[in-house]
Amino acid sequence: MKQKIAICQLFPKLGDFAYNINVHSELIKKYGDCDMVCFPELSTSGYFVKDLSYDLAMTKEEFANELDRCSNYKKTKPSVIAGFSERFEGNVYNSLFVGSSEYAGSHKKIYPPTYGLFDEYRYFSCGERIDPFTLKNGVRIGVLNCEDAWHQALPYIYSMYGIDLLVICAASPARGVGAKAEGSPWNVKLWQRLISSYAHLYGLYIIYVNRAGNEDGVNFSGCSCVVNPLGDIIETLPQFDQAERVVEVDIKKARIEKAQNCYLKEDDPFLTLRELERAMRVRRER
Amino acid sequence: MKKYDLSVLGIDCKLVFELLTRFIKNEVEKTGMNKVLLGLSGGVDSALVAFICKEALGAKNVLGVRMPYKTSSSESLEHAELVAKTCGIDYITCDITGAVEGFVNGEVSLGAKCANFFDRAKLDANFAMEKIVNRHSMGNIMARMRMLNLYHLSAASGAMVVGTSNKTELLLGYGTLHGDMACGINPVGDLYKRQLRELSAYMGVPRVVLAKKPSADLFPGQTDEGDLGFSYDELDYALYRIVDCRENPKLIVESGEVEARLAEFCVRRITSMQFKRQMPLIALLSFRTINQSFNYPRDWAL
Repeated sequence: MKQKIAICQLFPKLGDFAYNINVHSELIKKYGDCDMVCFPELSTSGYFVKDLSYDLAMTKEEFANELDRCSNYKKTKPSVIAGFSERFEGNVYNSLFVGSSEYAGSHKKIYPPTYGLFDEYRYFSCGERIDPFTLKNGVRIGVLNCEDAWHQALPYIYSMYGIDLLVICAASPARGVGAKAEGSPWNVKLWQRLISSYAHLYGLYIIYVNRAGNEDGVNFSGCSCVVNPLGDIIETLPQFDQAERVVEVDIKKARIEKAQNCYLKEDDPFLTLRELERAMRVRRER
Repeated sequence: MKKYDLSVLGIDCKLVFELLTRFIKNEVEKTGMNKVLLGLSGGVDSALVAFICKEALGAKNVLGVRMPYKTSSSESLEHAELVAKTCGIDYITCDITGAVEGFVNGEVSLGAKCANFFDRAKLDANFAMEKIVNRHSMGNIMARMRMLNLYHLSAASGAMVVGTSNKTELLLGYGTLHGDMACGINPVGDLYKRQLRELSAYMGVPRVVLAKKPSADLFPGQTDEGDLGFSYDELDYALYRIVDCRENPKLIVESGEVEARLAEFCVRRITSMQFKRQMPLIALLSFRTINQSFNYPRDWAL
């Protein structure tokens, strides 16, 4: 069961939804023969939106209509994963849209970071659900939005749903240029380490789609990549530059790998649940 | 001087160079401009910025501006020319002597009026009218005259003013507000002086410029390190530990890792100069106050 996936490492225009949605549409048309077209976090709004998060927010239905109006994606083959500012019951979320001809869903970022250069939680509410998505051909995927991936419970929970593929959309600024950087920002290496470990532990393909370009003085790293269920990076996109790449992953292979993965097979989520609860109780009572 | 392990300040020059050229290219071109101009002092900071701008935008889109005052050393002028020639950009020269003198001549009587109005002499026993225009204020006047020049040229030519203040200067507030600190973008504001020098050597900034003692050249014999009372290596190391590593200044002094006088100086300057790194304060009245509750990115729809 082969999946052809287009990874679009975009450089969105900050706050220009009309421009960005057109770029998305062109790429969805261009990769019309793929099963999935993936874009980075907040790919239709730009990353440092601040108060624009509110100005640009729309419901996922409105977003689906806007996207369809420009790209006709509902009548084409690929499922689309793209970032947008989502309005839902009065709150605004940093969301990933997951849509196809049959389906329009979203993942609301669970952990909008507020440290260092990040200030997302000031502008975005926290999502509270981790739902897998089933694509047209029965492929089950999980989607995580950047900082979400640094919370290990989320990929773990997804693995309990038995997903075949995890898509991590990101807007990761290049940081760490010390003498040991060896040509690549330090946090690019940290991302690669993290993703490789998850892929290996949970027997998954992981598609990491980071953005490129520059906003308010910040350079985004690019370096999107694909990791196979053994944890090997099998495809890397260029550093910093806008780029696109089509990769083919074999879900059957991932399932075989997963069946042989003893970490997963012997993992006891109920023990995790019990012991977590106990640990939290002990911590509370300390 | 206490020996500090300066290797912690080492940078990956190739990577930093790549990030900075992209920064300039993106941030300039996004505004619809494709040209920049900068003051060329003959020092290493403006030399490095010139080199990066040239790589980012091409030599024909970068203009250096030499702005000497009558007391500026001839060496500074020569070095500025050497920098422009080595990196292959064009430069122009605008002598600010006339403008500064014209201003100062008018300023003395105005300054006296202003000082009298606020009863300065009553408040300060050491106050003397002739000290209104002293070394310090002359430095500010020159820096602001240069700013005036650059922004005039920017409006005339459609080129963006690029800043050259480094992280050490910005943290210590060793610069003139609305003077040399004024710019559209600043590619070197996150590099300590030592890191900036490392990158300059990598980029091929002329050795004579790299080797000389940094100076604002506001009066003969002035050096930055003389003004500040510490060497850049000392300052960079202490600032790195306090700012980048977020270490408690008291603890690194107690453990003997950083000299007390140095740490105290850095903390005092960082704190008291915070205003120079901010937009002016606005009195909050509404629910949508600029910079408090009306927050938009600078690159809004660019």
